[in-house]
Amino acid sequence: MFESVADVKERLRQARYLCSDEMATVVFLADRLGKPLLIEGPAGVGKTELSKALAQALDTELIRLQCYEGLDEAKALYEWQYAKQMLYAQVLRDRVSQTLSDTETLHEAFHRIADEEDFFFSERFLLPRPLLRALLAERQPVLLIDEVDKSDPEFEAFLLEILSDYQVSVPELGTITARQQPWVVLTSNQARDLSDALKRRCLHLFINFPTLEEELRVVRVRVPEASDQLTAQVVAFVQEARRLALKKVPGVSETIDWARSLALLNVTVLGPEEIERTLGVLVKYEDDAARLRGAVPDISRRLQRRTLGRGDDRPYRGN
Amino acid sequence: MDEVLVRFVQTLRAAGLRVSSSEALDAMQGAHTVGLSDRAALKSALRATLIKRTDDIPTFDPLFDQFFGGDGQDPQGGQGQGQGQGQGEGNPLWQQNMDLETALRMALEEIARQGKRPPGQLSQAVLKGDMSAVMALMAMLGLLGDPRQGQPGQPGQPGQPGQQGQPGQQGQRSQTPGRGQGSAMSAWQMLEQMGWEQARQEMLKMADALDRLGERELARLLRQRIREVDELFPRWVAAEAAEQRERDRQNQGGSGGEGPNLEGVPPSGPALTQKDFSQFTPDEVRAMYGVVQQLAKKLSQDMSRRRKPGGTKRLDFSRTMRASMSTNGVPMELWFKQPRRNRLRIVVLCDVSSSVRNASRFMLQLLYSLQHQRGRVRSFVFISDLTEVTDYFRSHSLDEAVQMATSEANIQYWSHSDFGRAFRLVLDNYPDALTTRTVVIILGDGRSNFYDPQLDALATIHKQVRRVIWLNPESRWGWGSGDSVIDVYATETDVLEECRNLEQLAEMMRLLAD
Repeated sequence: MFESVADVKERLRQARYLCSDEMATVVFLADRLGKPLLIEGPAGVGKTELSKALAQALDTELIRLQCYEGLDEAKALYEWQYAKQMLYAQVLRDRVSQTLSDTETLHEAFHRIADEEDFFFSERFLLPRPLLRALLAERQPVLLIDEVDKSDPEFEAFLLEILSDYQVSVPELGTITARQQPWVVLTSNQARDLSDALKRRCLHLFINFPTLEEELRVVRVRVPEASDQLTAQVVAFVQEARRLALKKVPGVSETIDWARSLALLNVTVLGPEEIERTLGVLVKYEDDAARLRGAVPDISRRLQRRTLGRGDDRPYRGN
Repeated sequence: MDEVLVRFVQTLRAAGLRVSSSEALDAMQGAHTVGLSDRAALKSALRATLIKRTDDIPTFDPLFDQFFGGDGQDPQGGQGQGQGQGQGEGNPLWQQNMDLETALRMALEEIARQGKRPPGQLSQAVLKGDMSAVMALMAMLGLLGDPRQGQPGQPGQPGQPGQQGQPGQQGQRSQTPGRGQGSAMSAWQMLEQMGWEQARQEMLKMADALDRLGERELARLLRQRIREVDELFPRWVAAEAAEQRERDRQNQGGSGGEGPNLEGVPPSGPALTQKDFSQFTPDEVRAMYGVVQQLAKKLSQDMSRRRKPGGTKRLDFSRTMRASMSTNGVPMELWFKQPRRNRLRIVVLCDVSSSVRNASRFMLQLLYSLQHQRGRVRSFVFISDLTEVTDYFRSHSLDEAVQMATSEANIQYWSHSDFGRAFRLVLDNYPDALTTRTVVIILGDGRSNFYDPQLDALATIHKQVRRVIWLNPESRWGWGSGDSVIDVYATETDVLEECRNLEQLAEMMRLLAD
């Protein structure tokens, strides 16, 4: 449990995740209201990272369910361990024949086995997948359902039961209710619109690309090894790059990776040559790289002018 | 406080946002949790609980600022501090001891600005002092204008006439006679005018009512306000007229009589999706980009739903046997063959002569947005020469590529369309494009400028591919007249449809999925 919005901010900061007031407020609310949190936003702005930081801040386990097309209940919830059941049956065969040795009729034998069938469908043979694991956890876990927009609508419908009541039905065992109501985070890249029913059950948080200052702070925290000047240059460059029409706009994660790579290469001042050498870290498509390469002189000029003119702290929004 | 929130939810609903009661309850709980004192936190809380679609955020933000007072900083980050709205800065509307006069003035200003909203309800609400109703109605008004400008308390500055729906354009036609407006436009303006007239009557009646109630001062203020608004009209109208002239000049050569101003704001969908391709102005074409994009998103959603396997699954025997190894040869787990996705190869032949260029533009955009749903697209543009533009789409962003394909491709733009030659060129130069899995889509008006239609070329193409679909952006009435050889080509197409607006185009795209 978080005490206040400020507490959320502070504890996430300790987990090396810097969040805006809005994000902290919404996280706090989700915590208080016990509602799942649906995070949307472009790729690489820290949606998944937020849930990892949450788990760390709450000092609990992060259970992650990565969604993809074709994900079904069996893979998300539980599976019976056929092999193990079979093995047990093999090993216990003698014991079984013993049990059955004094039976007279088939009918009697059948009933005797039937009495034991609970044994085969017990939790011992149940292989819990992420969702069930989250329900069975002793300590309130953070359940991350990542990229829920990639799953099929059927699966989304199935999630509804879990998200509203925190319970699932396993036909052989009955209904399993959560020991501890998990802290649920869903993320979506908006590849498709999620159903209203699902959205209604969640609190909604939209994370956009950060402002220059926000991103500066994030990179300083995540890449302390980079020099201040390098960090400032990197962030300013990325913010400019986001304005270009790229196929895949670099997110905060790319900024961090880039700053880290440059720091590793002992770069202290970002020049055209360094940019050229490490561009692959920032953009992932050849076309984007070409486009960015073409824009480098232009961006450098603009950045330089700004540094000379009004100092590089002028706030503006990327993208 | 709950009451306030209920009103706010009503306001949102009035503005067309869908808010369920469970969400409203969440919002209340949320507001209680964060408290009302911190406006930014309250905004975040309400947004998180009430707004579930990213697209709705731009609608929500100004409404919140309007409702809870201006200085709510946008918690997303520095940008867009809500402006102090006419009334006391930092004084939330709902908290402010707003007297009737202020309410009246604001309401009037709103009506004056918009001119077409239900004045009856508004004036009644004002009369009853029913603030929540006033709020809801005003929210509605604010929204029907441009949300970024639609703040109450700042009646349309005369210098800012770009908004649509200026009230009572009474003077307009008399002031600038003979400006050849289409009749549809005039009718629209007349409606606008009636809206204001009606509102004006209501207000005057209200003033009378106030008189009878003994509120003489208020009644005087009200009448004065109406006069002021009346006086402002000519100035608005003049500015609007100047703007209109400017626009006309810019769009010269484009068709006349287009509807409301489109700059900046993509207008509401239906009008544009039903609008004839040939009537688009350059501004509208730009505005359309977003509309087409949305359409593509929606289409691809529909399609992925449709693709779901409906019928038989085929057992993957080898995989099932392999899986049975771990269960002692007992096939406990059945594996099925993945249904093979039928990826079409689409070859588009777009006429990009000026008469049908817009249609080509939108179709290319749609096709490429849907590419992952529909299979590989190869695109060719032609007028008299034909050139492949597929590569543009590989190396440029979609809008650039469309732009290049329809205007910068390596063909002569001053020539006349020659369909027969185009078909021949496909056969000669790109035989590999035509396979049995290929669907050929031809977009053109079939007006061959009296060149030889070379039907045999199309027939050869038809024989080699799966389907030939011809989309004609010309009205069916004109087919076969003059140099139109579409009837000749009809024999060698599987589908021949009129495709004059986005709706028809979208319908065709759906058809392709089957």
